[in-house]
Amino acid sequence: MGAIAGLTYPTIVEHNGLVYLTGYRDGKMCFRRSADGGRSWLRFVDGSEEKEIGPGEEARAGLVKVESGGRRLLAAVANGAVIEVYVSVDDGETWAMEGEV
Amino acid sequence: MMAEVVRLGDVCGLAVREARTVYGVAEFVVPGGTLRARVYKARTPDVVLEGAQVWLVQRIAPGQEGEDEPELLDQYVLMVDDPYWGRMIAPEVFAAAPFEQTFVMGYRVRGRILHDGVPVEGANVSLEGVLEDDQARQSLFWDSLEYNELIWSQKYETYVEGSQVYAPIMTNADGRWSFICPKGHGAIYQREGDKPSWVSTLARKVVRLCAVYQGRRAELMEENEAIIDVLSGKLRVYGEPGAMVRVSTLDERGQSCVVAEGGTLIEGLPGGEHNVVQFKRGPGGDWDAEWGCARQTVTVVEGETVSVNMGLMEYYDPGAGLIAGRVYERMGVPASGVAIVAVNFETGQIGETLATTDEGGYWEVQIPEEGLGGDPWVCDGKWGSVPLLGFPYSDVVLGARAYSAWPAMYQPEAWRKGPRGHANFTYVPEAMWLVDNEDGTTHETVETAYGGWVTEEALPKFRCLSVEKLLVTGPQLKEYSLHSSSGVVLGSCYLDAQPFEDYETLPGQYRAAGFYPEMKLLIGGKVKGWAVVGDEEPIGLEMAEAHRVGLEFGRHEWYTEIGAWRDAGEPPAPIEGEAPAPPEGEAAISEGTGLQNVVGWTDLVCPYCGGPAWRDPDAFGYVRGFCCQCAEMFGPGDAMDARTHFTLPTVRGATGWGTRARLVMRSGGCKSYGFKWHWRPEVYDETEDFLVQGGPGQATNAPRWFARHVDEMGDGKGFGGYDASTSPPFTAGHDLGYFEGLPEVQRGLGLTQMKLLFPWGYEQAEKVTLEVDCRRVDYQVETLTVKIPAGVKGPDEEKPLSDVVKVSGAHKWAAEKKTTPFAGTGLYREVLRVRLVEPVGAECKFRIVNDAPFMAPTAGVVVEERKAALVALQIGGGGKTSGPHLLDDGIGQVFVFYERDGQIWMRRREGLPGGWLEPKQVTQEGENREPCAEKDRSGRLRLWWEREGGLKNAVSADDGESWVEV
Repeated sequence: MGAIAGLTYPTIVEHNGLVYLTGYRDGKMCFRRSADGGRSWLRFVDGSEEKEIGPGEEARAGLVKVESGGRRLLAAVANGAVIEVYVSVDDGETWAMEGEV
Repeated sequence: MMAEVVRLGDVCGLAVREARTVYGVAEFVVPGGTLRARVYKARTPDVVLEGAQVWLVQRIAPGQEGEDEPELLDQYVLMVDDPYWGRMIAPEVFAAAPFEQTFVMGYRVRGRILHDGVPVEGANVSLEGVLEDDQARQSLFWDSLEYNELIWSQKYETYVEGSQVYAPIMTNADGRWSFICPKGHGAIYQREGDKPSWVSTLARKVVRLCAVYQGRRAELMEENEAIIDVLSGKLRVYGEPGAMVRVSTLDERGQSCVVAEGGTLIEGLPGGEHNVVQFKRGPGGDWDAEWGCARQTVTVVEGETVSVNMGLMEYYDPGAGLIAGRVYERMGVPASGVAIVAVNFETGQIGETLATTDEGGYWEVQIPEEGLGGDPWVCDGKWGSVPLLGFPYSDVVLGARAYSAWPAMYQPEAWRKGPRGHANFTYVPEAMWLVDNEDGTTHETVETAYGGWVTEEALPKFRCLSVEKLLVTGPQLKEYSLHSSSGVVLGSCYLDAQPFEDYETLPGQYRAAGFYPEMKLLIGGKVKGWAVVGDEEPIGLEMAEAHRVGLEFGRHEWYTEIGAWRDAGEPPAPIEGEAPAPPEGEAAISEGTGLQNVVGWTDLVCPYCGGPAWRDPDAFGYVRGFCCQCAEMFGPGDAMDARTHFTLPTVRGATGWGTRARLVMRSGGCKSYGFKWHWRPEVYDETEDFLVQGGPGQATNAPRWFARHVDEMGDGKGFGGYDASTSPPFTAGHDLGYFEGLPEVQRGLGLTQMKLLFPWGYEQAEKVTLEVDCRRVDYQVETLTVKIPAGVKGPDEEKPLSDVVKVSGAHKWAAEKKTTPFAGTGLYREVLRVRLVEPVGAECKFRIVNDAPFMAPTAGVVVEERKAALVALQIGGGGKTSGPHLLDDGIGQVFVFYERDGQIWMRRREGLPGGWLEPKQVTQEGENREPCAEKDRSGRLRLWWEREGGLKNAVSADDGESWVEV
């Protein structure tokens, strides 16, 4: 299992053999994905292994691959007094804030 | 201590060895050669950074990043890491030895202060900057604050503040100054261009930096000399040779001179708008009404020469049967569309409109044979009743602006301490305004080009009266009053006149000139205080300044950023009130209107004399975080501790200031915390009652205010005491109301956590368990279990402070996410009872006192004019944040579970893009967090969460409409 330095408060979700991971790093909620159960991390289009979802608190995020609606990824991130919901329509390449809960 | 893992993109290294720079150089000998770091503050001229911490960072082998003892490769980078100068890493990728890297940790800004071209030696220069965070929110900060010299006091037999004012940055004999701003990652002066490659975005950056001198600003760019040349504006006036010209700054009366062939040069003007009027004198030396000319305004820039051409004077023949004139709203601003009417005082009638002023304020009337039917007047609802004196030409100015004068002696200053001001601050936004005493209209002010303030609008000079009234009283001046947030500064003031003679004349009365108070005004107040991080570690006497104000738990973090913000919304309700609706921390910063944000840092300013704290790692007898001036006067470098103390820029006095804290990590990222409440270092006040000349941890006998525990006030009972050897063992103390009523307090104290202190020489023989009944603000009682470990001690000969046991283990900042009565946060007003639970018969003796900071019963921070609002912060960010949980039930529904105010809530939506339905509260009591849910095959939702140290679960068979706790 590959370790990830500096990433804390993990949440993982498995979907069709892919493992999706969120974790907290330096005031931000970050996202990774793996096709081998986390032994290695898939690279995004820009070559990086990790994408930023948005600013967040030191806490785990909620993460789900929604079965309906185009199988988008949904992340709920605690940020200050609110929970911010982010959506990705491209399997985590980019994230857009949908709103607050 | 574990070695730090340093991340450069996707590659990690381990900080394995440390060295300090000597003559700016640090070296490491490794296999393959020597690695050398040359560290400068700035180059050309070179200034080395002495004593800086340099780390050797060795690359971790791929795949070994998370290992306890990872395999390291023979590839390196060097890392300079300093709390003030920030962090720099070079080279940008790991490389084999040998190599040498040069680090320039700062950038130099410089400037010059001149007075009409002549260098000013010993001038105090301050820096004003604008910070921007990664959300594009901007805040104002000040550095190089002015402070008073220390002089010997016979009364205190020590050094106290004198009247001479200095600043950390001062000009030399040539009027020049320079300052090196730290630019490493995380440094307080870091700019966008200083962002290292291993950081994606800057959490904070300086986007504007200015030198400030007596209200003047000059923007600073690296290495460019910024010149402030006071009273160096020049104005060349062209016009009719031999005519007179009067030049006035803003709307003042001004000074006259003769227009020469080829123009007249007027020197020594302040920057800003100037008004110019050209006229001729009659045989008696008074204004000659046969000649007229349009007034003009011109903006003068200090250090530059601007020109204005007044043209030739126009002749008006008294025998031509024509009267004419110009009417101005204020000097140089024409009043267009104003009706000129004939006022007949014999009939008491206002006749027909004779003329209406054009865009230039000009009007003229051919006098008919039967006459005008009265005297020409302006009778205007806004501009009042004003006669147009002057035949055949009249020059009338209906109004003017009220403003602070440009002479330094009359310029306002921001309050600094007691009766003293900061000359480098001459304007505080929204701090001053004028009120029309007749109708109560408020006239806001803005900053002038030379500092100080001016009303944005022109104020009418005269009231509007009926003819009957005019017959009796003549024109009447409008009365205004000058206000600040502390109240009325001047209850009655009137606009001035602009006579063209050496004496007051009637026509001069109808040319309005601005009012300015010929007095020094100290305006604004400020937030200052102390900040530590967390509440776990005892502070003790190592952090003398934090301990002085009562903070007993927390950790010092260098240069913690503290901000104060305020929006135009309603302030939060007091603690005693109903559920308050305070602004939501950071969110309100960007959403508020009429927003003001100021920011400062801990560890930079001396809490005793206001002097600068030493910032560098090197010594020369000084100690980082301790006051330089106090070190020079009192002797030791650690004479006065400035660590944890902060002073924010001056702001207007107002209620509802919120505070926030930000820790920008040199390793990347930051943590931000908003405080919607007011946390004070009670019981503490800057009054004689709290003033002493000694105290634990204090290196000098300087007179200082010290916080007290409640058992050091009143009858000494505090919140109560316990002695198992007496009967009854518990002796009741007082509630906070008692302490609020003491003469030395006399204010609401809010709520406090409690703690146990032990008697002199006492040592707890065995572990005991107690129950303590505490009364909340709503008079409900919470019972807390307190365990006193064996071995805790009271003070003794070697240890001046007692060990402390907290009554509640809750973080007091958890109250930030709650509403009154702040259940479960350990914030109380009284201790009712103490019971020994086990072991029976155990010896136990202690007293119960307050733990600072208190949650003060105020609507945010209240800033008063010419006072400091004291704030103490244990920065914890509202307690550990609870993570939300998302669930897709596989049949098109998405659920989110989250914690708010200690309760678990749920929302549901019909997949995407459907919106969230109304929230449902799942739990009703206790402290709940970390929800986690799943839906089983029978379609029941199962929810698990933490409550008070254990796990709870509940089931819902109706998609969260109702829940049954299992």
